[in-house]
Amino acid sequence: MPVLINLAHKELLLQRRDLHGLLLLFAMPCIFILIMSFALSEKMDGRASPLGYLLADEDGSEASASLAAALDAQEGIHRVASPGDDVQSMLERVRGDQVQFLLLIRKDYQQHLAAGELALRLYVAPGTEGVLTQVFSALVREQVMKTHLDKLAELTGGAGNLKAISASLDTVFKTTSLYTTGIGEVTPSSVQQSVPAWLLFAMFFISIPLSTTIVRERSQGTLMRLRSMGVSHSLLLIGKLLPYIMINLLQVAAMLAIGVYLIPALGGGKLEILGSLWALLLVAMASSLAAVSYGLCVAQLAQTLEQATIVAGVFNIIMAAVGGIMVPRYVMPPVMQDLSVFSPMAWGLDGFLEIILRAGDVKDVAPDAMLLTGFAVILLALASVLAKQHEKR
Amino acid sequence: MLLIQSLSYQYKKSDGFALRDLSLHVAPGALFGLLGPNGAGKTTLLSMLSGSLPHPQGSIQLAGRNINLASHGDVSLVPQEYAFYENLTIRENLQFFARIQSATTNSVDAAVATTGLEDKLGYRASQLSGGLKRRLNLAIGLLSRPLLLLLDEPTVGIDPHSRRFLLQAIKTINAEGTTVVYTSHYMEEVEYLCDYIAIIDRGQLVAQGDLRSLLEPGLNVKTNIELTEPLSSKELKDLRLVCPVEQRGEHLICNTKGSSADLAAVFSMLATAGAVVVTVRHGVQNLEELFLRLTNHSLRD
Repeated sequence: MPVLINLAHKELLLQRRDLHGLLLLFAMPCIFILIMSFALSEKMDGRASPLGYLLADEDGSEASASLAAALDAQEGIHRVASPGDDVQSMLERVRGDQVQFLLLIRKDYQQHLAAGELALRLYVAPGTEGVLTQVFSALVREQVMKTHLDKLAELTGGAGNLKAISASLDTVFKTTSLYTTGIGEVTPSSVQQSVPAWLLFAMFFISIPLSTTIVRERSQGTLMRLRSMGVSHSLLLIGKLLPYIMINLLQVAAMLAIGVYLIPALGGGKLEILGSLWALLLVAMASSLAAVSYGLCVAQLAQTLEQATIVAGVFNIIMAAVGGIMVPRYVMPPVMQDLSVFSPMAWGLDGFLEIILRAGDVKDVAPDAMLLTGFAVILLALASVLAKQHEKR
Repeated sequence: MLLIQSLSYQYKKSDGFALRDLSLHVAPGALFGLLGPNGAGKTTLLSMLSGSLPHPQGSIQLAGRNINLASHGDVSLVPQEYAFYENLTIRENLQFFARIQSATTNSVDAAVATTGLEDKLGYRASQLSGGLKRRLNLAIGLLSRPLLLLLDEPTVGIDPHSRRFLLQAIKTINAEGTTVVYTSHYMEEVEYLCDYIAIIDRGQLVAQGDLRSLLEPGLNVKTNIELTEPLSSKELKDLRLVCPVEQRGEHLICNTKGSSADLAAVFSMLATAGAVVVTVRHGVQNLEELFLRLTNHSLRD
């Protein structure tokens, strides 16, 4: 028994003095819980709506106004102001995932309703999850039924026939996803939304093997040996950049292939790459440059392998949580959404989604690629300065 | 060959100097021993000699040229760590470092032959014994066929057979014309290998010269007598009436100044005290004794 107690005591003592282990065990989950709790707080608490929508009232009648008022009063959704916007510009905002939905009340709304013709069309942003679309559609249908039960009852032969009323709504209310190049009837599969996010997450994880390799080289004297052989700091950095970017690009190819070939073969949805392949290459290269530069910077800040692993891993998870990898940014509260613009993963994700969901080309993804490249350049410069300082310590 | 003049260096965030006004001269073809306690500045000096650390104060010249202007291949550093890639084979490591320095295949073959690694080329470095790792570390240092080879404790942690092989290999390399600067804490290795020695402490030179002149007793002749057990304090007091004596464990260090009369008196006293003598060494001091004396014996870390 004393031996057992002694062994256990020793383990606790070792763990207590292992600062990095403690950070991994306690600090990382704490940070993660905080970020995710804030990110999902409004969605889960129902305090405010994560479901924003634009309303285009082409009818301008009393009936359409009463539907709009009913929707305004509905909890769980909120109308995004669009003063002076025409339908086309509203569609562009939704297509760009700036707002999740556009509800179009067609001209002669009441007549269409009475005739059982298309009276309402819901346009869905390409990046919106299917389940949220279902929730929003159900709320709209509920309000249409409440406000225009009489018209629907006339159409179906009596207010008591709720099943028939509900079925009639399928003809007067249509949902359309904007995820293709034009306005199509296809909705994006979960693969379209999840592959880009997890692909980017995986790409940034290259910072762990990269930083630990450098820390090991430094502690084993290999870097010093290479320096003594006349290899400059910049050459050493570029010598790391190129192979790890190649590995990142292989990751991209492998994960896209899984989405395009493996998941459909297993019965899941197929990943469709709608946009330009050049744009895809540009975003992949820029994301990789950012991820590798981040790894190089971590390597210069960390003194030990443990530090490198923990710093790279923890900040990856934070960047992912803030950047919309784990939960879509549109379900986050406004403060978190504002914060997310500082995460390189958010820039990369925007770029990939632009291509995969909105058929973007090089011009469309250029701003995100520039942000990622700028981030990479700053971190590379920092890594270079820190590497020189390391030598003088 | 190698001329170091007034070299000083202070690391950032450090109060003291790692090197302070250090001047040394290493003759062409020498096997030069560089000694010093931990923290004396040896590794800093080797880093500067190898060009991997700048030297803002003082000058280092190799064959008449400033070390920064000398070709990197002229100086080669073998660090005390295993400075190679564990997941590469011996062959892959050698090829990688050879390509970095634009060394020829012949250089690789020569380095392999000198270090006796011919049969192990396909082994991953991680699978090698400590002795083989040391040999690979040395082989990489030989790839550029340097004029000056810097060896930083190259025999740490290996068995006597491997050590003997490495020391012999270093002698061979030196005999073939390469100037070697050798640091080690194993004094017997330095005594065996080096013909010229410098001892530095706290970044400063405390002694330098060829081995014989450094160990030359001069007027300070001492006799080291090892007994089976230490003398009592009374016996020691009686002995001190004959000559100055210092007792370190079972060893008596007698400052007899070369006088045979004093020596006879010491042994007579020991016989009277019934002391049993195990060994007697007279006239020369070994390198370890010199080193400890010059660096003040005290523990440094």
